Amino acid sequence: METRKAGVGGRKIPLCIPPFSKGGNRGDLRIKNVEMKNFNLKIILSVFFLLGFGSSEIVSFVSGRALYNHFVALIIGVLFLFVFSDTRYRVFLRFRAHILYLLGIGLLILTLLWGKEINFSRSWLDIRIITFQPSEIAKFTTILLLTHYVSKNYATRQSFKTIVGIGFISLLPFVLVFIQPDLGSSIVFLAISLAFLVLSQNTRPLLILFFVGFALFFSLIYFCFHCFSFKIPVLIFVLCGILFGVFEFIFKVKKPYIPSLFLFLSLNVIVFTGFGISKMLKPYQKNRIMNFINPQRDPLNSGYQISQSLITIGSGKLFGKGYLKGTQARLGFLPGKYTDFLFATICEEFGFVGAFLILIAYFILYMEILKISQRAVDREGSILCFLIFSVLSFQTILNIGMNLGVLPITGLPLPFVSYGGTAVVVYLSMIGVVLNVNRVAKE
Amino acid sequence: MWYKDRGFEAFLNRVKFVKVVFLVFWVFLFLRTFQIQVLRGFKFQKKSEGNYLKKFIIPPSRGIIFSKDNKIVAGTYISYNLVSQSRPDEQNLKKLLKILKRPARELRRNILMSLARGEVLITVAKDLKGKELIPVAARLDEFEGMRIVKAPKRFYPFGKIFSHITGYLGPLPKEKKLPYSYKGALHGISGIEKTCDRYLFGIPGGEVVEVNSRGKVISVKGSLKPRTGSNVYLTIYSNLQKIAFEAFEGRKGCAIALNPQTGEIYLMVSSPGFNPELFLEGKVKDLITSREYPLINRCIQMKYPPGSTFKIVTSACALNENLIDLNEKFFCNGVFHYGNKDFACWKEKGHGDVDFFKGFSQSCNVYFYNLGLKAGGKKLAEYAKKMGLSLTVFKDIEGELSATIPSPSWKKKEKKYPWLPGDSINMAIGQGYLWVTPIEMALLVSGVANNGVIMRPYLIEKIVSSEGKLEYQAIPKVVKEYSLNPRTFSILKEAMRKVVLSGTGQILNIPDVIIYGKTGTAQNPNGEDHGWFVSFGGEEFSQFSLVVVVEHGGMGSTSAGPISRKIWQKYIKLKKSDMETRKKEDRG
Repeated sequence: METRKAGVGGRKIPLCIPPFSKGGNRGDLRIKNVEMKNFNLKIILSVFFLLGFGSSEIVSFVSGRALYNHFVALIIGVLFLFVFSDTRYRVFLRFRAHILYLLGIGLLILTLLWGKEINFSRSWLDIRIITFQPSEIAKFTTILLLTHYVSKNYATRQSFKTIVGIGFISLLPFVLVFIQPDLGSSIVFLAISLAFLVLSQNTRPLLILFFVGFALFFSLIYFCFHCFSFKIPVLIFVLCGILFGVFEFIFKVKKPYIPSLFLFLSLNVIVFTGFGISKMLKPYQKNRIMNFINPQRDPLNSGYQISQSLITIGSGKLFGKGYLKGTQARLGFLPGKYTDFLFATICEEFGFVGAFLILIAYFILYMEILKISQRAVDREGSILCFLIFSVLSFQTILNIGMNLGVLPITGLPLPFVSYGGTAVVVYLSMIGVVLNVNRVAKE
Repeated sequence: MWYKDRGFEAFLNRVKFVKVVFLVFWVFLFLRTFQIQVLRGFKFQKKSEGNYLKKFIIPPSRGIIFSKDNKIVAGTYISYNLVSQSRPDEQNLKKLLKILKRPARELRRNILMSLARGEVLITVAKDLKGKELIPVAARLDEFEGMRIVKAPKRFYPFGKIFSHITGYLGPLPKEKKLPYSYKGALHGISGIEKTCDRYLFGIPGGEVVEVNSRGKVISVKGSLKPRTGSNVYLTIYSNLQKIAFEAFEGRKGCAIALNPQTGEIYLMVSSPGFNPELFLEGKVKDLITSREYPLINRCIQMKYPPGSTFKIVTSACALNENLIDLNEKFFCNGVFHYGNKDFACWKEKGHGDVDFFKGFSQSCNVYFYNLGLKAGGKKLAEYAKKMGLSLTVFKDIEGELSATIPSPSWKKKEKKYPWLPGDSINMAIGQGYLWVTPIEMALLVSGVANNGVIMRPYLIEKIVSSEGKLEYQAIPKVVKEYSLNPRTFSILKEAMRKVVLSGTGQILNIPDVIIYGKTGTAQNPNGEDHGWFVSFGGEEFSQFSLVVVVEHGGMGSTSAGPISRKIWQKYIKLKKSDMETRKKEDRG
């Protein structure tokens, strides 16, 4: 590792002793001292702004044990942020990434076995001292292993083998979280693998994925609404057959029937997979999907959330109703007022101005993470930052989109803002890692 | 290292691409937030206010209706209702039922009714009495969103006796809207309750409260106290009304008495009556389907052939036009032949030689057939109208019908047939096409008693607001003044006096009291004859004229007569005690 001159305000610090190194004579960890730059002020400020904004609302909603837990999580999270920003991120990679990944998977399996069930999903693990959400930890560990795997196979990133590997690594936690069932968190794992497809420049699987995804999504919606009606699928079936037949007839395809038959069959497989999934979904999950499509369908339950969220945000208008004066959230019309719908609560009390500040803070934070990923000294650092960006920004977009009624209700927290101890600790740790990547990055 | 790597350039491109995608998403989120908060903010603000601000109406207490002797005819008492701001769930209902000990069906019915009416507050239990009220009030905090509200409730102490005067309350028909009304309000549907609804109703109060999502009231944002409705004072004597109603003993018919000199209505009875409280409880099916039509106010809404009571008009016509000599006699052998038709007298054996006074007092039909022939239909109709029939001047209760008075031109127009002398003969004794309402008959009699001056009949004496301000005061008003030869009036009165002294109306021959009367027995196509008795007093009792009709009661003297006598006796008693107290006052 080359030594570089310290930047402005730079200082020389001893590297943390990596927990798994014995005296250290392996790879990059051999270097005892490296010059580090200061913290990235933009990231620190925007993260703390978001934490403060969220906490100011949470403080007014929760009290007692829950409030204590929140502050303990905040303190641990901030501690992790600084510890990880001082810890060489390569510590987490290589074979340690495998161990951490397996640890995450193990926690998920334990959750499925002995987890605590809250709101129909078994996604909490209670180990006497603390209760936490292993799916959040698994997000971090999966990112670490994927970073290691991809940077190792970066040269062959477009090959089928690498893509399958990525798929396997992310699909395992996906399945484990999906059957908890926690639809929102499980989608995050899919998003991670999607981010790799973007990185790999391999457009064909992306296109197929989109095609399959859309077809699956629509067939799912269709079967949610019409449990056993096969009219439209059969219609598509027949229409496709005719269409492909005409297509072959006009263009005189030399090997008739083979491509059309393939498309034809795949379409139908997708349609019936959609049917199968719709049968597997729990009624409340089905309701969520249906209510996203038509919020007026069920104004009292899931549709209620969407419409109340819109009322909450909209009634804030330009300057909001004032701190502690939000009627929608304070009088209990908005469900999940300090968890999934905290964005709406902020919008109500601080108006468009508050929403604008939140969005700007996120924008600065995520753009900065992307910039760091472009500046990182090594492949691992770049990919790590990119992945952390994709996980965080994906959740943010999904949550705010859900609050604004443009995306379905998935039950994902808003990073740094929503109430949720495990999430806060994990996301702050991620930021710590990003800061560390930045500190050793080139100018 | 990494930035010298071949893949680095590709990575940078990917990140650039992701940056653009991210930017697009962010701009979209910005625009969406802007759209909801700024462009559509007002709409959502309204919705949010609708969420947490609830407006509750506090119903006003309806004004009281008093009779002339200051008895409450229709009053309001405060009952307590248990209401809920949202539809109570089964669990709460079960818990409530344990405390309330009311049938579950009743509560469910109440809830469904209020939901159907679209009320903001859903009524769960109505009219909680002390024993139920206390345990519910004590445990009210266990039921979120429920509270006990005062609910003014109408009651009618006289029940059936005043039913047609007071009328009844009910929800407004959907197509009708009143500016002072509110959702779920009860308004007068008939009677005084309807005519004076604007005064009686009062002004509803209201409360704007902040509620949470479960409907629990957090704070009161503003409130307005309801204003009690004005009180209505009637001209009806409750004891007279009571006597009159009870005199009917459930028979169909009606009685109306008024003061000929002022037009005050002292009693207005229509039998059978109905209990107006049944309308508040919704048990009206029997009333509506009954073949006795208890909801009809027979005094103003039913037309009867006047029968012999119309002979007053016939006589007045003949006397005023000098068509007869008082001593001129006609022979009555029970039947009157005209053309090829026979017209019978009520007395089959006949009255023999009949002069005017005998003909009138014995109500000899044959005598009046002759008068009718002499006068003719045109003149009879003219006098009937002149003397106050078909005057629809009674406005205090809606729905007055107008008499049908046949005349040659009327018959040509309505029946497309020329007037025949037989029509005149029939009309002379108040039969044929002639139909009048009892109140018109009462006006006619009053006109005679008052020598041709008919006062506007009324029964709303005054309306006084809850603060004591006089809002309406009835002023006696002449509605019709006709001139007849003074001799005509005196002869008519003499004849009517003879009816009481020696004729068909001897039942009203009360010592020391001068009463003029005329009986009537009206044949009708629906069954047995209707009995009529019209009467008015003289000298110190000249402020009373009475019309009694007993539907299908047979002879007027035997059916309407006793009822009239009871009413007269009561009136005389009242009048005498009144005069005595006045004398005492004068002495004092």
